[in-house]
Amino acid sequence: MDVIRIPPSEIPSRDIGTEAIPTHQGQTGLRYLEYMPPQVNTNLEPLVFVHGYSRRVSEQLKQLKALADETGRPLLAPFFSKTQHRRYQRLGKGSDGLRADRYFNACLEDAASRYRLRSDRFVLIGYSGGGQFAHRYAMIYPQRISRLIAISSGWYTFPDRETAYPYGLATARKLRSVSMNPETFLQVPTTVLVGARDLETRNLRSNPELDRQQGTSRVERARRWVLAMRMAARLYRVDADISYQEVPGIDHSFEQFVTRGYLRELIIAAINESAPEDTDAVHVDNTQAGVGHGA
Amino acid sequence: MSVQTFEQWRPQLLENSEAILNRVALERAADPVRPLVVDEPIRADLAELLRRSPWAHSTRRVERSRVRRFLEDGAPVAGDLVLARVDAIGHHANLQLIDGRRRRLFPGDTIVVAYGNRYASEQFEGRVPEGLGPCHLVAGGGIAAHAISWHDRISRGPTRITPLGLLADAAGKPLNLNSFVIAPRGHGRSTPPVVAILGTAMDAGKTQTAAFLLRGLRSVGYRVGYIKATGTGAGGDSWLLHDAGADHVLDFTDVGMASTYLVDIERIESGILDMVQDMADHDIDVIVMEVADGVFQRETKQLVSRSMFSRIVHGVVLAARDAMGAAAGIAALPSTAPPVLALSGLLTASPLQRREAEAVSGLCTANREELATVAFAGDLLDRALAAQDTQEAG
Repeated sequence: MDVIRIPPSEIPSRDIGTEAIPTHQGQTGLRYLEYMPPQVNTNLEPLVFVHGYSRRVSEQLKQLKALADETGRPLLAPFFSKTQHRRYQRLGKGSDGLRADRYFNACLEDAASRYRLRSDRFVLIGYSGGGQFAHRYAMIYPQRISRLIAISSGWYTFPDRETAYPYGLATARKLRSVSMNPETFLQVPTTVLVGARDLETRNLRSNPELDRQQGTSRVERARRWVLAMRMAARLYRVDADISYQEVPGIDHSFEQFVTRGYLRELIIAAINESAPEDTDAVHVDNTQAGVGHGA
Repeated sequence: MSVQTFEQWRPQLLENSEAILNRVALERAADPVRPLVVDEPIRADLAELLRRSPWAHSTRRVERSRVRRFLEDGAPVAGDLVLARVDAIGHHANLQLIDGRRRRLFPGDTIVVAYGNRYASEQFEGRVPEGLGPCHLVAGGGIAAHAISWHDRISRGPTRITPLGLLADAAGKPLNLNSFVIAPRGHGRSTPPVVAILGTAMDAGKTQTAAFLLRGLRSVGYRVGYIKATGTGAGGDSWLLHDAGADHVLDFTDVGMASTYLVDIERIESGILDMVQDMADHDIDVIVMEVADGVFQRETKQLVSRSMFSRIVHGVVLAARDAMGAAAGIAALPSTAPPVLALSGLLTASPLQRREAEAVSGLCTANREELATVAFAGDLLDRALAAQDTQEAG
């Protein structure tokens, strides 16, 4: 098995701990991390996590391992390197020629065939820049997402057909052959999480157009996006499930969100609120094999 | 300090987050671009939507501060105000706004319009639907209805809309145009003489006749008012008469109707009397009153037979497309109707048709330029007043 480690230079934190999370590199240079909990059920929709701009994927994934342990779901995390996929948040094309969403799909397919997982539907969780990626991905592939959890995103694509992508849905010029249809993506159960003290504007994209549309802080932008999504849902007569959770005392820190903001618990609660999955639960003892096999 | 469990903490988090969102939405809805007073029952996101949506010409008299609730279910009646989403653009690609601007419509736009029935032989027949299901924009002035038939020329069909809900007052009662009407003061006072413009059908030239006759009467030196007695709410005719120099312009929407199709004749009649009285309140000397569609049309036919009509109308100018239409139009009027004093309309574009029409009717014909002359307009009004005197003497 061609398991490789992500070069240390690309992962600021290398403290992966005793249970090393392997990274895979497929034939097309796909890199992703996966974690199979001891009691994995490969028939359940996987949890797919998208890291933030600082790309501390191993460290953040380690914090989220408990999600997989508790739910029995496989946990996957595609890795978008700084050199190859600099603009992954906006679904930009990488230096490998693959647009971020297609690279992401390829990672999932690779993992699915490797571990016999489901890749048709999953829970998509994104933090910061990953939250940006996640909600935009959900706008293109709504049918694949059983729940979208966008955490502390810097800014958003608004459900506004008249405004050009990435601020709005008019994708003709920026994302070729992609159509973002509000009538379908508004049906994706969505949870928006943001720290109430996430007011820092450092490392936050800002320009007059964006600030006027969305506000100047992550908190303000999250609020406005949720309002806009709910208004659009009313407009398109979609019975939408868009939950907003502004967690007091938390700023733009993943660790703080986990340790003091109940991040894991909030994610599990959100997953549990989604519609039950249509699956025959088959639990496989994964403690020996290290890899899960679907029955 | 007591320690909260996650299970105790999360419901509070959700509640507080919703409260924050609501506050933010209200703040944004209070944005002064287009003020809308909002109170608790109306949802903040909806208030924002109402604020951003263009209000059609048909809603021009509505006091927006009365909008306090939103009904997502219900059976609309003509005149009810509705927030609707534009689904697909058909014949009406523009919506007339209150200021007269024709706003281009795009799929996904939301608009505030009024339900109403429409009778337009060159366009649509539309009926107020029984529920809030998808329907059509049947008039550019902002009329929602279910289009049941239309002219062959309308190749694109009607513009499709989906009602999102009815606008209602604080008590939850749907807001209707009939709550926003003129209040004439001087009932009982004598009213100005009325010249009625009738036609053989839609697009026979009635509104052009009204506009040019009004110019003639103004040239004589009168203060002239224009009333559109029946029809469907649209700004075009009223704006034309404003442009022609009318001193006061009113239509059935000013007395609470989105359109007059399928409205009881007693209601239409009382609306006309209110408009005539309001003209008197505005010191109008003479009124040019246009009655929509042809004399076979349901409400027009009823109206010309009413005693009120012969009492207030001193004379009629009949607009027709051709001589035979003019002859048939005169014959179709009841004997009690006020006298037809002249013929006008499209037929005046053809010298041969004019000659035929004059020969068969014994009436004079006048094209637009002639209507606008002092000589013709002054003479027409003299004959109208004389005719009324004769009627009263008889």
